[in-house]
Amino acid sequence: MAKIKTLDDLRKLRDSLRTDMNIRENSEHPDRVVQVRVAMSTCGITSGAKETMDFFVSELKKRQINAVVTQTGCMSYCYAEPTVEITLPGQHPVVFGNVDNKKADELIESYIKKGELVDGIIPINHIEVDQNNRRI
Amino acid sequence: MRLKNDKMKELSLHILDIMENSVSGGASRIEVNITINEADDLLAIQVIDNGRGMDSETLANVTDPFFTTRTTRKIGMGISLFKQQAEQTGGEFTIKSELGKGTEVKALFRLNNIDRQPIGDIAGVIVNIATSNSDIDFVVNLGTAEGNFHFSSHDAREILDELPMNSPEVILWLKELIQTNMTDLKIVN
Repeated sequence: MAKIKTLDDLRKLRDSLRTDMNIRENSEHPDRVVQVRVAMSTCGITSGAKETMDFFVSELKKRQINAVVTQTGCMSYCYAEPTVEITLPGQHPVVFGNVDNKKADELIESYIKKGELVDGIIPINHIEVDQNNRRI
Repeated sequence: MRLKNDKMKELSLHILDIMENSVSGGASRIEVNITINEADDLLAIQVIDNGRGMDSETLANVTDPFFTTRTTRKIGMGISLFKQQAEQTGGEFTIKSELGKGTEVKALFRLNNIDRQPIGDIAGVIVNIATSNSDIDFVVNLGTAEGNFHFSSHDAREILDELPMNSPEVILWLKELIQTNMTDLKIVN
């Protein structure tokens, strides 16, 4: 198809996607969607978080995985940027650190597709403290 | 004091950073205007939001890299890096804000100055943030000598109807929509 240029083009694509998505929903529940959130703070951006986000978007589509991808503000794990939180259907969110494209690929193949945990998890009850042992 | 910036290599990344500020500021509408004026050798970038704004004390300190309203760390470099980029090309940087009304960031660059960073992936930046914040209206205006392009996330949402904005298919379509128009307007780097 020619390049998408107008909102009208979008309308036509919408109709085609509706058909595809109905097929998917018949075989899985609508709430069986994988949620991927990429932190996009200044430190995230400078560490390449945008590339990580773009990678998840294009690869999840290519590998036909039922997912949604969003970016959020600072998750405050600045030492481990880019950070990505992945929530598999019916499970707790898990945050992974230092997610470049290579790591993202591993996360898709191992964690998202098979539920196998991968190195580099940031525990969600991790607390950062300053030199006076006060929570930052 | 000169900040070392070898990481925010494209103007689109600065725009992303500023837009995230607008989101944090509670904006329900974020407008981005980019104008390329070859004749006057100017590239103008404007981000306008209707968020909670800043009081005069915060506004006076906002371009200081060691000032931040965050509680998780002590440095807030986004604005100061963007300001430095504009100024080192011989351009200008202004930021206006009013508590309860919103904030406007305006950066002017000398288009052909050797230090002017490439524009980068504007389409990607806009679509990523718009689809991640579907409760916020994003309005984008791009203007060059070839013409103008207007994009509204609100209009896109209406067309998409019940389809999730943050599904990879939709994200990629919207990126293509904006990118096609940018190419037609001859917005390269």
